[in-house]
Amino acid sequence: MDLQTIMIKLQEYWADRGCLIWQPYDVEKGAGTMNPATFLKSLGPEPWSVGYVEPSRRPADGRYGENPNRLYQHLQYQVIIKPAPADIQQQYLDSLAFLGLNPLEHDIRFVEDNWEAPTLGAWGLGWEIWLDGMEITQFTYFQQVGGFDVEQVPVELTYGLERIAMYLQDCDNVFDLIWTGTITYGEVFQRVEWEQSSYSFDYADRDLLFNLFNSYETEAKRLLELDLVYPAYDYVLKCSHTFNNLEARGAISVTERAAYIGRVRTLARFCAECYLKQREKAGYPLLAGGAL
Amino acid sequence: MTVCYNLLMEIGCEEIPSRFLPRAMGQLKTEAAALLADNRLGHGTIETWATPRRLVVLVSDLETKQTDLVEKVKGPPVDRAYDEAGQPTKALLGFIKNHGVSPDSLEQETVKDARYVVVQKETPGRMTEEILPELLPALIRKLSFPRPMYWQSKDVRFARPVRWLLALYHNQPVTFSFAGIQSDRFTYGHRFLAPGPFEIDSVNHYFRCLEENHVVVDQNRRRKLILDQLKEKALEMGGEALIDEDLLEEVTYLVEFPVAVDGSFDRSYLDLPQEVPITSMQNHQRYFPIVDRESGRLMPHFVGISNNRFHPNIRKGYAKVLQARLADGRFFYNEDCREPFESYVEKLKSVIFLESLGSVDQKRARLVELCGMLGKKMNLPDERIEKAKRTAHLCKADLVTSMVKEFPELQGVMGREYARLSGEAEEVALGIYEHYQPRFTGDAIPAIIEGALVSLADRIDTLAGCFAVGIQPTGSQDPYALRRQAQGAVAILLGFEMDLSLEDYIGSALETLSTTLEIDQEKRQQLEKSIYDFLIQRIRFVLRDRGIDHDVTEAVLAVPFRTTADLVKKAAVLEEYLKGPLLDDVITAYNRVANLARNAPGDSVDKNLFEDVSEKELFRSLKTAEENLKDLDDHAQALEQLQLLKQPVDNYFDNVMVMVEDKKLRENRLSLLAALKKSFNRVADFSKLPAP
Repeated sequence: MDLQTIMIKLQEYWADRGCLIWQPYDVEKGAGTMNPATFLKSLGPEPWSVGYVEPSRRPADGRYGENPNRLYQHLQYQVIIKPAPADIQQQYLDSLAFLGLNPLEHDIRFVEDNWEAPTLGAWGLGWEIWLDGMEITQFTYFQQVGGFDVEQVPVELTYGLERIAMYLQDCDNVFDLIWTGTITYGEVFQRVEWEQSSYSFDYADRDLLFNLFNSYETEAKRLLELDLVYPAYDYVLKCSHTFNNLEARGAISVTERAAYIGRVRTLARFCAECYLKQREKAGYPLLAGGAL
Repeated sequence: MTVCYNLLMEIGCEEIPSRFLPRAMGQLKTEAAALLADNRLGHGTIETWATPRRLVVLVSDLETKQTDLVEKVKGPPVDRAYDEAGQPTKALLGFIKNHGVSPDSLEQETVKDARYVVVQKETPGRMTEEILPELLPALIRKLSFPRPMYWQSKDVRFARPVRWLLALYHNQPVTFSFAGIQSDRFTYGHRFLAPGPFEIDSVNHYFRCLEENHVVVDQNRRRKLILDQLKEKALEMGGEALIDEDLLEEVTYLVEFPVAVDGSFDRSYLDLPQEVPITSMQNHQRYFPIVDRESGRLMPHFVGISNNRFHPNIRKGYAKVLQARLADGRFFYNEDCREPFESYVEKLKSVIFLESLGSVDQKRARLVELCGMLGKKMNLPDERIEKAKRTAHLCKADLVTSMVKEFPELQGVMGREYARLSGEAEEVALGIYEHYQPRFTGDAIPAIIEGALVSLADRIDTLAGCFAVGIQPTGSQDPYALRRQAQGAVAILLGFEMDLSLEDYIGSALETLSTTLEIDQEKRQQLEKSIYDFLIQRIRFVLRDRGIDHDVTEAVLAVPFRTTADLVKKAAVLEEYLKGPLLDDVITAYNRVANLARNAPGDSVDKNLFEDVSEKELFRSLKTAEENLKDLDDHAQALEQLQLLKQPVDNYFDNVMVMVEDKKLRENRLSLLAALKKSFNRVADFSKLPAP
């Protein structure tokens, strides 16, 4: 099964289970969790179900397109369902079966893994899903987001699309994956990987990035005072990505690291607080609709 | 005869982390026993079991009815219970009504000098089946987990979401609700092989039903199944499985239906240091490595424990993931080997050791200096000291290699390997590995002096540094594992019988620390004391562990001691002689002397003031003892020397009056006693030991 079909099938599967099919968010981010459709919508009492593909950038993980398993950017399929349904484990397993992974022919395991995103003030408990020894999904019941206890517990499923595709295609090198037809993952992304890795490790301008971080931070604060949560949150994401770039470039020492993470977390917390107030003021419209 | 039936409860969950389960089972058992006792319910054995998806408790022979409760209840004081006419007051009537007792059954009793109305109240025992619906949810609530979660409402927390509840008493369902789930007589089988639900009609059928549906509920049986299969698979591959107990336990609680799957990897990975593939297999994949039965060398095989029936996919997948990890490992290894090991030292500058304690490079520099100081204090040969300093210089360098960044559990191991490759002396390479030892209580201490010295230096540097910046363990809080660090240091001081006093050990560390941190005189003294006390606490722990009597410990710790090893030897000797005539004599003599010696102005004695022959005699004996004790490090012989003083001490007290009017004479006699006490105290403070 090619990569594209996997994405389409997951969209189809979760759409059939009542998920709204969202889209990747157009600001750089390290994980699908940072998409406002997860971060903000996980907060508050309103029900919410979405599924979407998210390209996730991790500058420090780049390997110039030379490592068969490591990428600057990888693709996640992200599902958020709030509140978590009682049969969510089964729903997840059925989604694997829908991709052709018959649970009777594999060793599928739920292995403890507690997820945490310190820049978002978010954490949860759950598992890594192992398919014959390989981690293919992160399965998390959120407990806190933006420093707030969740009111309704969302479940987050994060499928590692390249990993699953490599398994299904019996492929040892991510760049050999078939995306569709005769086009490989390498043809789409190998040059991108090389350029982005070069930028992150060798050419990123430290001074510029430090300045950008400060400007983004100031802007986020200013916007939050105007109660403009979404644009403010965009700048929080920019802060986070800039921090990741600085770290990959080796510009941040271990001591400074904690302070930078703290600064992003503070902003994320403000956004969460502001968003919660907005929804409360609006009277939680999704509660009444109940459509999702 | 009491009627009894079995009670069974199964808490069905989403996969509970394996590390929680052994403790949860213990708790389930203890709490069940406590709850039943509180509720006056007699029962037979209580057994518990656990798999990733269930916690099970079986109470055998649970009585069908609570025992009756007879208790005396105190009412109002008599003078307020009846009015002047002798009629019951409102207070008394209220009491009667509240307890539902008849006015005829009232009695009076004196409680603490006042008369009260009392009544014998009998509460008949309730039926067990009636109480269990309250008891079982209470029991579930009693279970606690290191990191519980909520999944519905915040007031219900458990390790992972609870999805079903089976509860049977006398083969009938006990109905209650917990976390929105209604208990019933249904269970579920293996997640894929036999999902269920299955109805359980009798407690006795529970295990059989689950066994038929591919769930081995009994952890001991699962463990045995795993071990048997491991043995068999290993044999087929011509080797034996390397079994790490912690891994075996973890795997036992990761599966409900263990099936061993064997696999192989490319032989070329055996060129890597053995620990690299072993870590990948054990720590990352939870596989059991296979080693050659004779040589113990790693073979290119492994066994993984699957939770499903065998399928070629599983074997292929297991091998593939391992292969990818090993490829990563080789990549890092080659990467690291491109530069000489020495070059990594430079990079330690960018790694923070602890916030205000500077970089790891600063720690490295302190360790080099400290090893030199400690080595000199112990009079070690220069050549060994130099090697230890080299070891200290390199011991943290592997922290910045790609391999250790990726596999932190290989710190020390990679250092050893890279040092060897770079042509360092074998003592240096081994010392780098050993300087982390002992890593936990009971772990081996370093085997060579280079490793031991660097380990000692590293531990005291961390300890002194943390204490200096105010990080000290309190109660259960010990984030930097300082107790373990100190315990390891004590183990090494003992194991190597290091000729080093604690004062020198601590003093040297504070001196080198002052290159990083400003420590003034006052702070230094205060640190010396608190670190000393901290180490002494660890020594007490060692002594207790070796079965040394508490009094003996206090007796030896009350006086100065030369080295830790010597102190422990001395304690062992005292322990041996405790309650024997030799030590009893010493204690008796000491107590006679020490009581009065307290009043002495000093310990210098003027022989010309002696009047009685017994005084001269005692003084002579003391001088002999002092002479003999001076260079004596055999503590049994020291005791014998002290025992020789008993007779002269007795004679002295029989013939001499110490507290005479004449001040000069009196003080001289007291001083003689003080001098004697001093000699005894070279060994111990014998007053801490039980007097014969």
